[in-house]
Amino acid sequence: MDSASIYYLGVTLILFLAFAAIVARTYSKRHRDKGEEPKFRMMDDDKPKKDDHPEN
Amino acid sequence: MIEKKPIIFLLLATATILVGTIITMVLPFRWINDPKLAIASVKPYTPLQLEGRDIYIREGCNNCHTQTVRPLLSDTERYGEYSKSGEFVYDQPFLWGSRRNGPDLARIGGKYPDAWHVKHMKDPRAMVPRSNMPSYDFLNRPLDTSLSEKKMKALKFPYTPADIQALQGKSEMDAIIAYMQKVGNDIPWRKTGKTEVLGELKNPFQDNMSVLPEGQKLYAEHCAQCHGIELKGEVGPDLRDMDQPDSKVFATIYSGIAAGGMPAFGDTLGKERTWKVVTYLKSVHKH
Amino acid sequence: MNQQEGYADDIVKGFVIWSMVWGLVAVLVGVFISFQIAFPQLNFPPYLTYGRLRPIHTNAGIFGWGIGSFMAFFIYITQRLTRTSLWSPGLAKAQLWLFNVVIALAAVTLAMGMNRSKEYAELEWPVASLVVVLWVIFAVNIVMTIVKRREEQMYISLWYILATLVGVAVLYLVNNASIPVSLTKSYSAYAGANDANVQWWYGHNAVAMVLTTPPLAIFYYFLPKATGVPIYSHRMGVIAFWSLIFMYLWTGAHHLLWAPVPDWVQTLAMAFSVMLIAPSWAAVFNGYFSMNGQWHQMRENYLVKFLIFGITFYGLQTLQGPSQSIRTFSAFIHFTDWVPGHVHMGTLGWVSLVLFAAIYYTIPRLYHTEIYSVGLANVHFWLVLTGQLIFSITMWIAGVQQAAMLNATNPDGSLHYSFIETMVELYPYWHMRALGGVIYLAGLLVFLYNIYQTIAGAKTQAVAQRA
Repeated sequence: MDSASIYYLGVTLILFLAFAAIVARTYSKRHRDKGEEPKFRMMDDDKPKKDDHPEN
Repeated sequence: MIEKKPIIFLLLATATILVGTIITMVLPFRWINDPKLAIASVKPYTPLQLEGRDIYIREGCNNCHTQTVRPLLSDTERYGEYSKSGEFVYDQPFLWGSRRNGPDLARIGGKYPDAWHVKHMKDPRAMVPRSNMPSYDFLNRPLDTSLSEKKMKALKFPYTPADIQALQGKSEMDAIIAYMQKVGNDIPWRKTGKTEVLGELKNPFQDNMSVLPEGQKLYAEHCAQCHGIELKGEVGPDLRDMDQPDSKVFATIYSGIAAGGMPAFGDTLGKERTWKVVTYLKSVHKH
Repeated sequence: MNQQEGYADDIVKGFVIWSMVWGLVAVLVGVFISFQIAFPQLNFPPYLTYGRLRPIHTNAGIFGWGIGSFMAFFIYITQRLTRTSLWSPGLAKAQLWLFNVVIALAAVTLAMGMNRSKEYAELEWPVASLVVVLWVIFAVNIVMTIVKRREEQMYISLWYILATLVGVAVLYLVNNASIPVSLTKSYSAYAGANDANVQWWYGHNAVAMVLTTPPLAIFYYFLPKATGVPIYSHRMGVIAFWSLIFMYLWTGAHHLLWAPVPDWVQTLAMAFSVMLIAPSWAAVFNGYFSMNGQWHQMRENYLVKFLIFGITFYGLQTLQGPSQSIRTFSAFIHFTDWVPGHVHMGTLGWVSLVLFAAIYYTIPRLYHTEIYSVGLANVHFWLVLTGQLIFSITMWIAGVQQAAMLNATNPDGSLHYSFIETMVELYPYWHMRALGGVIYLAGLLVFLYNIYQTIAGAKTQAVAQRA
């Protein structure tokens, strides 16, 4: 195996680990409810929110 | 985390799309068009050829005609030697195209004489009966040369004042034909006149009248454009009453005549069909 | 209308209406050039030849109809997902003007033959520069709206919207780099095989950032809205998002298989194209699983019919696309009519069906009324579906037939057919394609009539209420 092959393999491995990390984080127990929350909140968006920005 | 921070998210998304971009689009600049791999015989365009190329671009010819011959039998047999990266170093933009509504033109240079192109551009269906190419008769108008010198400078192509002077009186048709005659012709690839026909050349259909209809049909498709449907000659010579032996006629059709503008038909017709055309040709007389 | 109270929706109306106008232009020109291919006498040089009209067709379709309606729905969706009104409605109004000026200029300059020749980046540098200004105005407005949002977490549609904004900017700037000669003429900054590689990196990622991520943003928003049920999995959307925007950028060279660009670039493009099936189908599954227990809505709710057929064509498109990206298959069908058949399944099937649904959903809400006729919407659906299927299927058959003829050899190894012998066999298919185009056009006219009546009805209602 020449150095170029080792280099390519390394890059592939790093990219795969990055992907695995994203999957692990997204599907972690801790993140589960947070990760699915937006899909429920988007169902009710008829009017702009007022309360949390009193200056408007 | 990032789904709550749009600016950081934006930066991360940008980084993500840049990985593939850098590896497959930016890095190849290091290898493609490397001067070390240049083909010495490939030359920049002359002012007339460049104007012709700009007309080709203006009319959108690349929407129907590609300019890359792939290293595949159906491409190389039909169009000629496969395309090399080094042949395109002066092409800004490249004109490889993406769809062949018409044939590939990467090896069109030198395939036909100028007179063929003039006739074909004027009325494509007069040459190729069921072609769907538009007529480009309107290109018989004076060439606008006001930008010619600026164009050569912009692309850093060499030229002489005489080259620019020579544009006077040229038509757009002259320019586009000058361009097409250059395309793919900078490397010596053409087999015209060089193909060796080995073995004894004996017509297998000699005096065989049953092949005449097919010979005539093949003649109408491949030869009549230049020699006329009645063989009286137009772009090419009159073919009636040929007094050459069959083997000589065969060799001319099969291998072409480089100097005379006669294309080689061996790759498209093959031996058997070429012999049928020969048989037909020898059967036609003036009276 | 009091914009302080609600969302800035008047501007959405403007973009929707103008995108429909350009969509009609794209289809009219498309039908006309399909007739030109079949009947060459219909070319009227110099302005109305196939060579000059085809770029007008693609530009009106991708930029007029596509980008125009994406601007409409990005503005509509972003305000709602952030629960905030648009950062600057004034800027958006200027953007609508500029958008129409750019598209009109594009049509005129292309007809005059001012053309860079690079597919989907044909516009000469002054018009292309206006496109850049247009995009910056648009991007700033959307990003600022997201920055001042009142909803902490971003829904997946906003992810796709942000990726689109940055993706299109990078692609367009790089591929439009030019050496100007005059106001109407320029040369590409890159030469030969480099130019080709840059062009198809751009060309295929225009498919990603214009014909994939925006319709996905729109699909992910309007499917739950139309069904009344949340999307199946937001987290699957997230995984698919990162995979999709990562992988797409590697695949451009599958347009250059067997061409003189480095082999390793082609091989990477091939591999990543096949890998793209995974994130593409994640979106398809997300759509299908969201329909669990809701499939009866396919009969009852015409919006769902448009959306689910749309995502189905996306699924088919993202299987056919990768298969074409494989060297052996590409060698066979590349440069034939197969490819226009493939492209039109994506544009007419996937992108347009989703956009029709979004327009049917938003127009009645924006004008505070009901759709004029659900019956006509169904007629529209079946007409465009029939037209598109006739187009695509005849082109696939035509492509395979021509490829087979081009590859046929005689016993002595010579080719059996000349190019023209293979081409003349395509005329019957080209007649069928033109027919498919006419049917699609009829469907589009039914759609436009339905929307027109909806808006006209809303205006008379409003007058009646005031009286």
